[in-house]
Amino acid sequence: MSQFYPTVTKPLRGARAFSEVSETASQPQAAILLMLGRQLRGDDQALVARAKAARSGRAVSATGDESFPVPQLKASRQPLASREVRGRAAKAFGFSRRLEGAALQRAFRSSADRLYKAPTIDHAAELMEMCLTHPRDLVRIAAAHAYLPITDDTARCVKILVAGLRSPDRLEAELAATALARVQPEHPALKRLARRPPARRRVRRTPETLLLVHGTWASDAEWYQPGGSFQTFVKGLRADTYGAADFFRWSGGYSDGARNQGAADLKAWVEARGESGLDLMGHSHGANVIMQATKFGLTAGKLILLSCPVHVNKYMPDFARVKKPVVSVRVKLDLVILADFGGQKFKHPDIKEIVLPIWFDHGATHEPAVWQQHNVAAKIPL
Amino acid sequence: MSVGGSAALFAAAAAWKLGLPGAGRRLVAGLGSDDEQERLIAGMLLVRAGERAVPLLRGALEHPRHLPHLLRVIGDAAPKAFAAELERYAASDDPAVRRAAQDALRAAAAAGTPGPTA
Repeated sequence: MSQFYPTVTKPLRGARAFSEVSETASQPQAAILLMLGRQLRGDDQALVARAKAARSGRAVSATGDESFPVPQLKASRQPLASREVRGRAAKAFGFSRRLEGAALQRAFRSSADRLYKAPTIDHAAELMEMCLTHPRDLVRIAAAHAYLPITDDTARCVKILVAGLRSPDRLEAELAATALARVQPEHPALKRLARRPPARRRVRRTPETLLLVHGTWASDAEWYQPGGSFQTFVKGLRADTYGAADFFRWSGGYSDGARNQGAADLKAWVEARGESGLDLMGHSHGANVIMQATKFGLTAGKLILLSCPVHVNKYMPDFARVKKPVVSVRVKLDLVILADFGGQKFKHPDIKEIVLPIWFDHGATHEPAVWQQHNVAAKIPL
Repeated sequence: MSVGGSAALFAAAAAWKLGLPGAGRRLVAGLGSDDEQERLIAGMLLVRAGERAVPLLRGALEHPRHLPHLLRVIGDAAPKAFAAELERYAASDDPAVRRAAQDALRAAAAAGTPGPTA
């Protein structure tokens, strides 16, 4: 399951799939590119031949799903000059690496339209060449894999695949690894991947834990509790997110005293469970409770502050007890922080600020949809 | 999240400070809003008003629209004035109301203390 891309139930089909740059459109775009690549490599014929040899020819279909049309191309291993393909794309669709927004979407759509109307290797190459610089990693990886058989600039495609191996998104990393393993099975980046101990977190003697902490008057909020919307989402990113019934909750009181008591309770909660060094993610004044707990002697790992009202005179982490940098995620001009008279941003070398392109909404930073749309997990990283 | 609704609460708080009681009632109405952010902002502005908010909160307690949230706000705004009510709701049959009142009492107890080694 991908952490970045939503489950698609009704994919954009045909050339329309390229009419937008979005998480939703990325998967059908990648699928089309990968299926074009299969045709160029002759994978489908090879698949049928292998199935026939194993007398299981009926168990496989070489053709795609008819409800998800893909232009039909002949297999080819004839490399095209990448520079010439780029030049054609620039001339026909005004494409350049600097293109963005609606103009970029128009260029992708025009190229896809032409390919669907006239399915030629040249037209496929133009779309793939353009998609090598697509804003979404998934599409770039798919384009690099598909383009390899017909481009003379294979190094560029391999570079994209190698970069994809490091993606925090499982879908992107697995696609990149599978593609690279096909074309360069001996690539050192794959060997490094193979050497990495599997499921490292699970074999550690002291398991890591990520704990969510709620904010003011939110102790009964569902989002942070086991099975809640955000807790479930974060658990998909970090399997060690705390999910037992004795999860941490504090009074949520709107006073320094209540927060201090919450911080003391948090320290006691952690110590009672032998979870020293755990990662902590807190929303609103819950983030201040976390920071205060480190002042009270709690040793933590990563601190992730969501929409945290800034009161540096009262709440700052004990940096000697946490992993640096502390990460603060917020929206622009948070109205609740305004009501709280708190500062809107930290200015500290050990606190990394991530300001989402969202205005006013205090609760946005614990919304799974916002995390998906803005790839928050990759920016932290968790 | 309604930006307009939140902005109206800020305006109401300012008008209430200038002596318009109707504006205070707008803040109390915000406690029962369907919008979580509006409830939060209304609560914070009322808590900041302290004892001045007591008559409004007492009125709200007679016809509560979002009782758990109201109890939490009361616990921070004027716990002494509502001590009896908070104790009574802390034994409520409704678990959400009971938890909110208990949290309010915990918060009220902690509010007066500086916190350990703080």
